[in-house]
Amino acid sequence: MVELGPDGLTGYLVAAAVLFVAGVFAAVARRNAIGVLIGIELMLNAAALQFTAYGRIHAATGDVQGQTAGVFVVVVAAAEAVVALALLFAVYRSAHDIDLEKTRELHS
Amino acid sequence: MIATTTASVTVVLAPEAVMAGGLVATMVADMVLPVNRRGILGAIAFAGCMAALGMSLIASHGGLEAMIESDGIALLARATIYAVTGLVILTRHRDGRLDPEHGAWLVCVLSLALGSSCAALANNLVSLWFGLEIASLAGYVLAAWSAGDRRAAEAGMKYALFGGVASALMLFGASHVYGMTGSLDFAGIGRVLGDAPSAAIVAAVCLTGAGIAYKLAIVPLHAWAPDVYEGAPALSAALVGIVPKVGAVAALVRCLGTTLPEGRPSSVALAAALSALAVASLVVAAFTALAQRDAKRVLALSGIGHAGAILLALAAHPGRDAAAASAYYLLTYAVANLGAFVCLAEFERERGSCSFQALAGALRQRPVLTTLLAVFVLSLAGLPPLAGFLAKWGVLRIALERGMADDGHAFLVWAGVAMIASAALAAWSYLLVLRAALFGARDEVAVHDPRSMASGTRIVLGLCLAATLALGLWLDGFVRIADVLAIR
Repeated sequence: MVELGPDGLTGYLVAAAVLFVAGVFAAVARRNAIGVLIGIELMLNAAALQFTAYGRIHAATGDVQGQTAGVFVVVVAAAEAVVALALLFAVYRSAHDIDLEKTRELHS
Repeated sequence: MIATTTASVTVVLAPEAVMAGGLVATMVADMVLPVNRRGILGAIAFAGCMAALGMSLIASHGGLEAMIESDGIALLARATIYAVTGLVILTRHRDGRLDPEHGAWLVCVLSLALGSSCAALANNLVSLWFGLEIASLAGYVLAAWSAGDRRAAEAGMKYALFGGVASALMLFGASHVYGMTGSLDFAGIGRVLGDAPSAAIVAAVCLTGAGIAYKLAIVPLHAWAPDVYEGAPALSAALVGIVPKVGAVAALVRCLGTTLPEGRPSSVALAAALSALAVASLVVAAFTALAQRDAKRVLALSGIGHAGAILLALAAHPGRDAAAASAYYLLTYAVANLGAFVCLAEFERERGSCSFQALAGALRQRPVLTTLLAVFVLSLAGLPPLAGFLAKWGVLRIALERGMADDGHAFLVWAGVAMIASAALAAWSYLLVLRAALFGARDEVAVHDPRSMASGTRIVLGLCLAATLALGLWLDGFVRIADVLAIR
């Protein structure tokens, strides 16, 4: 078990790190574009979690930048998912596949 | 919190407010106007850009709550962003009237400009990330803007997936930076970074830098650029290749200027790291460009090389002279790149592609357009008396002067030498494009769309040509730009 620090920060940081590594792994290893997108969302949420966790520490001095950043991340991640899914749909309509290897036409 | 002069929100952000107003007006007009009156949409968006350009020249300067800093580089960057955006809208005005989705295209273009100008004003990692992200979201859509075209859709998807990863890396790094330094604004981070920072902070800053490097397509985060430029329509490639880059460079100039003033222990290490990235970009782009067989891919790689040159100037000296050299370089790059892509958009419309094969016989069929393309491409190559030459010379002078004057920065001399060598190599790849367009032999050219050039396109090309020649002869340009950058 992870030892939580007196402020409970460590647990959040470990959780964020696990999420982030899982996201990087999905983004790099997945050939399915949806899988890559899920990886990106995991990475973004890891960042949001970490912002709010650090924000909790700094909030004692009246600094709420961490929480604000967390809200920003949530909003933009949603917009990012919408745009990326629309683009995946456009690819699927013309190529009938979203496998990044099979749909690849652009290369040197 | 940082002590900046806090000016009124409405005054500092007037250009952005005008731009947002233009964006909303375009969106509403797109919904309410009948289909046969859609021509007016482009006029509204163009008017919004020009009004924002005017406002950016007269808007007051100052900072807002350590989030936004409107200074000299912001003024230059915003003016460039709005001018380029307006010119691209003008270029597509005639074709746009035939496009039922033209209103949506305009909204994306204006969002790209708005996001980039927010990034150009950023004084804080979150506002920088937010501006870049707005610009990117619009850019992803623009890259895929060619209905039913599989290559364009793939370009958009690639751009979105690569961009998403880069944005997440930047944000994860930024959250660690915030946790360890307790601040997100550049000056606050700089206070911690200045004296021997811990390895964890350096790692977090590197992650954050990776996001910015991706936007600028700096090696090793450049792989997306050639594919995206090739698949995307030429005008989208022009926008994606110029507008967010201007915003990111402006933020980088401010970031390097405020976070690491001269003489701090870690500034030499930062200069070495930045010049290594710059040299890698210059050399990799120059070598890769030689193997390409598509004009848009060559221009994508040229963009990577130019970003490297701008980075080299910033690495050499985080002061006003270096900032002026990089701002001048950025201006010449924006003008020549816009001109070249507008020419390519015309060829793309006629010939369906910008591959060397498709460009063959261009000189015989479209002599004026081909000559213009040659001028812009030669300016990118750095041929005197065109603008690109003076820009390259400015960066080189900064790097060599610093490298020779200061033993700790001797690596800059080698970086300068690498820049000269890669400029020669890159010039060869530009000549390959011109050889295809000027001497490529093809008797029967299948022209899809034989209409002559639209008057908007003529105006844009004329302005780009005039600017390319004028910037090349503007000998006191560096001094004048340095004066503008002195604005606080």
